Amino acid sequence: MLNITHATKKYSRGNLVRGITDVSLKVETGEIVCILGSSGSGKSTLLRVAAGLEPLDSGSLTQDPNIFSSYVSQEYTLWPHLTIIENMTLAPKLNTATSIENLRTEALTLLKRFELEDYADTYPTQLSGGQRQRVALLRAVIMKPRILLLDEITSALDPELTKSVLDLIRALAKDGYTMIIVTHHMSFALSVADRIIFLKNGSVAADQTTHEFFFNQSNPEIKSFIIDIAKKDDMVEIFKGVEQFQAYHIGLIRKLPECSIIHVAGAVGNSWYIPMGDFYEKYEHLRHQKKIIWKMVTYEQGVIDKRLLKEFPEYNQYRQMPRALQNPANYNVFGDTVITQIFENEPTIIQIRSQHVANAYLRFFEELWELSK
Amino acid sequence: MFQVLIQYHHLWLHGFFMTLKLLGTIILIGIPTGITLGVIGGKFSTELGVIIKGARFVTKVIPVLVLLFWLHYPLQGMLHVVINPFWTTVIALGLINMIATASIISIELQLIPKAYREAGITLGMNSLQIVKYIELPLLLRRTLPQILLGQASILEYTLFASLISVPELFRVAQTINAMAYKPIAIYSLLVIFFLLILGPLHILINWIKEKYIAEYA
Repeated sequence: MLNITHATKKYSRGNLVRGITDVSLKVETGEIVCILGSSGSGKSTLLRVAAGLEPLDSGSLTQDPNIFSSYVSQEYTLWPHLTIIENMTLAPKLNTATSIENLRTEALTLLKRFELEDYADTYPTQLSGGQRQRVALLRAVIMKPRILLLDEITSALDPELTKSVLDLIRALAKDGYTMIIVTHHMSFALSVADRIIFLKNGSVAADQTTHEFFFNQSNPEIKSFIIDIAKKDDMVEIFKGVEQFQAYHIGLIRKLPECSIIHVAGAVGNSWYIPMGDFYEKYEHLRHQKKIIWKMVTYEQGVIDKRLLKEFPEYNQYRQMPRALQNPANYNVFGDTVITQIFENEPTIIQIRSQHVANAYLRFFEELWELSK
Repeated sequence: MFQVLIQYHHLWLHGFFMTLKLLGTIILIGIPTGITLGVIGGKFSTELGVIIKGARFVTKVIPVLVLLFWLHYPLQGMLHVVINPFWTTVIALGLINMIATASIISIELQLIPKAYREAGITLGMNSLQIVKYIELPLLLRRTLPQILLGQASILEYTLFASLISVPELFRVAQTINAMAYKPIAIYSLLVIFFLLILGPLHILINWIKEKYIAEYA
């Protein structure tokens, strides 16, 4: 879909020469690639090259014909003289055959989906930084790009606003966009990326699957980078609402390595399938593709659970808890992460990323598994 | 006051229209050339940008009256030419207006974030569309109050034209005063004339400022 071959782009800033040297990158349809690296390692240059904003000194950039890519930068780029809706509809109005009424409806639908519809007729300066970046993303999305290039779009935001933007990207990832994302949020990269590219001094130091990069890292320098940055990441994160609930699970299934096991304890019947809605099918498809196993212990078996167990016994291991052990808490364990899910009213996921906590929950799960049949 | 106005109405009207003619000619010369030079200096030619900066400095430090007198007397004397005082004023104030406008445009052009243009490019807009729908409207909103304020100053500078015998409003007021000697009525009328011209201009400037500066706050 997008192919960068032996790309070199250098620029000077005072005495410093920065940029990228001999970087090759191939991104396939539907893939989500996160670019990580210390500041000045060439992440933004690589993305600007991919967006066609920087001419290459040498090397080449090729893209499938008729593929449109949209780039969102870390700076606030909403045009200040246009309202939010005008910002979103200007480019498609000029360059597509869609009528302005349809574009307006489309823009309002997008704004509504991400709870920004009240700001449709306001100016960018009336929005917070997080809202502005979300609108900038939606402005890119309305052009129906096949590739989204996102350059540290949360770098100027405080943690609360950052979360709102990252949640939006998660939701878009769930929709199947191909994305190349420059970020310094490890937990975010871990939750959405299929692949990680690590840049050092303008060159690719690692190009690995997300799991390999984070959990089987052999390069000591990268390992220490991960630890340093991860310290700044939140250990506990909350994902609220149907959109985020779906995005979280789709992201999870994408990032887990093949043949992983998700340990599920205390599930209550069909509760989980309701907020997943139509995305449940996509989730199942990906899960089967990656041979990811659900190891479930519940005290009540739902209709869908029963069917899954019958149709795909290889991907579903199931035991029923004794009634005496009734435990309504629902938790999942995978890798170094534990999540607790709440299904009432607004579906919510509370994620705790800690190997110690995950180990403790896993021991508890194994005890339940042994006691169940 | 009304008696003076009615009695000398042809003189007042002549002065009023002379001032407007002076101002109009200066604006017609100064703004288009200033915008053109400003765009070239701000976007395409660094050298021209430097020249504009230098010229702006010179026109700021040399008093308008000195420049006007220098153009009217020594320069014309040195070149052995005689230029109509109206055109001498137009040249002097037109030059000042052109340089001030060019300076405003070139500075503001450079202040428009590059990211706005890049956002347009990555959304598939071509250069012409970016200029028309993004850069030009932004530039206008940012520069219009400053340029209009400049025109108000130019109108005030036209008073100096009376010193080289251009029969504009102030000169007319002095002439009428020499004939009728009613300074209170005459100079009060002068105040009213200037209020009529400058008042709406300042209201417009403030409206534009309030409307558009909020967008950038």
